[in-house]
Amino acid sequence: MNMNKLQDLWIKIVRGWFSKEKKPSSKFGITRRGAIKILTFWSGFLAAFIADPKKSWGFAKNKITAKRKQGHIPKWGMVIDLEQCTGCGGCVMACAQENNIPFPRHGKEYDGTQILWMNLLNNPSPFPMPCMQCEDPPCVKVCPVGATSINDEGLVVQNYGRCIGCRYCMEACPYSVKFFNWDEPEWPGSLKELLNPDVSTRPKGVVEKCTFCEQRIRAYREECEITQTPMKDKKLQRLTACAATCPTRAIIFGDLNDPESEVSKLSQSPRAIKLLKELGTKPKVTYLTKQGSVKP
Amino acid sequence: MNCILPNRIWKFSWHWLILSFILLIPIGNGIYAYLIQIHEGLISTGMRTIGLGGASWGLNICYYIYFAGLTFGGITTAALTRLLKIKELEPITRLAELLALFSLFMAAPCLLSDLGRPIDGALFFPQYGEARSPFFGTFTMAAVGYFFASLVYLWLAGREDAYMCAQQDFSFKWFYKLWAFGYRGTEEENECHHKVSFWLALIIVPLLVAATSSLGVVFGIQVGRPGWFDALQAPEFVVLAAISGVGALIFISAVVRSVLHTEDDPYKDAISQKTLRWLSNLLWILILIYLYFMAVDLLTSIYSSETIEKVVTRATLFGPYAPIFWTMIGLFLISFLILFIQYVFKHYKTGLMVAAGVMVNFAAVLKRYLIVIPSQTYGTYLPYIHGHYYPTWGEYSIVTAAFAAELLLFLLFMKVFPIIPLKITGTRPSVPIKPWGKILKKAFFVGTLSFGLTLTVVGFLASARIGVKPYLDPIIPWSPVVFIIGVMISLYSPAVYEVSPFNFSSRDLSQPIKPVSGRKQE
Ligand code: SF4
Ligand code: SF4
Repeated sequence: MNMNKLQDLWIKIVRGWFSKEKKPSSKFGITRRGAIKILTFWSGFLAAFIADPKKSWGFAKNKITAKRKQGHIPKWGMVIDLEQCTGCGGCVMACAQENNIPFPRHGKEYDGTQILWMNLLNNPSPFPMPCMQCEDPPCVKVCPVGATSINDEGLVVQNYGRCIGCRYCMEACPYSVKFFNWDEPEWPGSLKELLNPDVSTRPKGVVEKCTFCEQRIRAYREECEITQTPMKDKKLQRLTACAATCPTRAIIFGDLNDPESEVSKLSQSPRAIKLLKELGTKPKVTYLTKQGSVKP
Repeated sequence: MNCILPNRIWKFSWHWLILSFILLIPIGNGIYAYLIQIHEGLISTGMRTIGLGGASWGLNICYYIYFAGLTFGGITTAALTRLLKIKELEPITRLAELLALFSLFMAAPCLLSDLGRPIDGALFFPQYGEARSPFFGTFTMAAVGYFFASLVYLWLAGREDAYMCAQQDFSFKWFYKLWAFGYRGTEEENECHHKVSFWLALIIVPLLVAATSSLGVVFGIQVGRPGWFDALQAPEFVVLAAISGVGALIFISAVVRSVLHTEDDPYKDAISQKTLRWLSNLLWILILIYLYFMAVDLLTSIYSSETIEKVVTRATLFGPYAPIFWTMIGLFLISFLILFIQYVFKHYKTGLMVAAGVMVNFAAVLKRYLIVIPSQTYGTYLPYIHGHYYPTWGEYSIVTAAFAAELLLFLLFMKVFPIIPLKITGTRPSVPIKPWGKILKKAFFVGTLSFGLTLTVVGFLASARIGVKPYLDPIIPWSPVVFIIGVMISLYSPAVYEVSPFNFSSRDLSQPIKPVSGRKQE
């Protein structure tokens, strides 16, 4: 049997192993079988690497990067019109309700522990502040374990199970829109029954932030897949909880990769600005303003 | 061949017992504070969300950097002593190695106590560590590199002393035998050790500088935090680390020296004032370099027009952080002047040198605080309220416990092992190495080193995913561990050269090696 065949066989075995359904792991996150798998994989990989570095490297690369081919990949974005915003705070409430954000508690020790995926700054005028969903997000670059990452549709998402709570991403975010669970979140009394079943609650010790209501996007996509219709911009415009609630329609959501969508058009407007553009983070949230009315 | 044993080993005085007992109190208090923190969450600390009036990193991170700095200072001193053959520092090389090792032990709890989920941190980092994050360098190179570097020095340099101790009627003989690891006390082994120490130093010093820089880079690459985003951050970290390390060494050497004096130990003159003078002269030079760095840095941010950078600088110079800042500057200047004047007039006072050593350590802690905190509380680009940060009892307790634990480790070590390299009297027997032994040794060394380097490179590439779409997990799980093991094996390849058992075959022993037994007093 020549070297290539051996390698192919090896790849087949490993691929089979890794694609199997994950069994619930032991207390320490790894089962004995898992450990054997990893050890075997590593020794095999080293052997293959010494025999034929190029091929084995390519295999390892493909194994991870193999991703589904898609037609149109959306790029989700948001436009916030500061002319329209009255500072009513509806978006803040709707976001908290939708995303199971714990209630702020009173007392001196709780100062600075609130979680506000959508924050409302007030300087000099009302100023809604979600995660900018940067295209080149500093928070993702610094996470030591890949708990915050950017997906194919440009959403910067947070893996709560993976987060180790080092808060490096909070330091890195120039917009200060990441929030840490300083203690175990609580929902007093019957409020617990009002939790949104589509969104997981977060334990103490992890970081969280706005996800552009990822669960709503998923639900709408599934709905469209069932009815075999394309996603409609009209529906997308008010898809996120904040956009759906805003009484003056100051917040518009949509697909930036669709040139016909409302967000795409509005973000070309002469009034459009991006916050802290000079830092090179390429935010996907655009603010519409009259020159000089916002001082970022 | 003979040696003079110090008095203290395996003899416990009342002073020693009482002091150790006293140290257990803050340690217990720190553990209690940490348990509370685990139970309640980080709300029990003074840290809060940035932008909502707080700072998300606090005292623990400051002290993590501080202890890592001590490690750097310690191990670099030990390495440079071998590299440049500095006679004056030879008696304190073991102290320097111990300072490095024990400080690193203390850096770990400081870092872990900062994590929201420490157990997950310890489990996930080896699995999913991202080479792109500056924490990768911090966790791997700084933590593991420092650890193995200080351990390999301590081990190799201590083999002869361990061999000597193994001949005495001490308890735990196996410990000394294990440490000696086949050492036979021959002249050739000793020569080989000196050669290895030199080469090891040559490799280790750049590695350590890189590791300490990676700590600076944690802050230096943050575009979003005015005051941190700075190319000078990495070199500044290196110099400040060296300052605190040398300062701490002056302090420890002086303490050990005075203890030996009072005990009337055969080693009471081992650490002479020359050693302290050497260190103190090194210290003032380092302080001068650091002051220069700081001046350049400040000037740059003062000249930056009305930017947030300037807000942070103003808060530091004249705002709420001014007392800390000016105290720090004062401490640096006073220590510099003390040491410099002593140097100019060639008149040295041990007390003053120790005072300067302690003062620079206080200054280094304050400086770390000023690096970490103001950029979080004042350095927000968007119009958030300015924050504040006051460490709580729990945070102070954990840090104090770390200091106490480090001291306790020193105290314990003093009782089981010579803290100053043993004086060897008489000549070592000579057993020439056979030519094939030399070749085998080299082959072993080259083999280990290449294996280690291969693992390092493969592990790093598999964690870094060079050329692959970003923002995914490491190509192969646990590759950070492979990287770490690679670093470790590479660092240990000189040790393999030194301990590989090809020095002689037992038939070659023409003269038996008769080690000393019983204590010899001068
Ligand atoms: S705004 Fe902050 S949290 Fe959101 S993607 Fe950008 S850096 Fe990350
Ligand atoms: S807090 Fe969590 S998400 Fe943020 S950098 Fe640390 S591990 Fe990553």
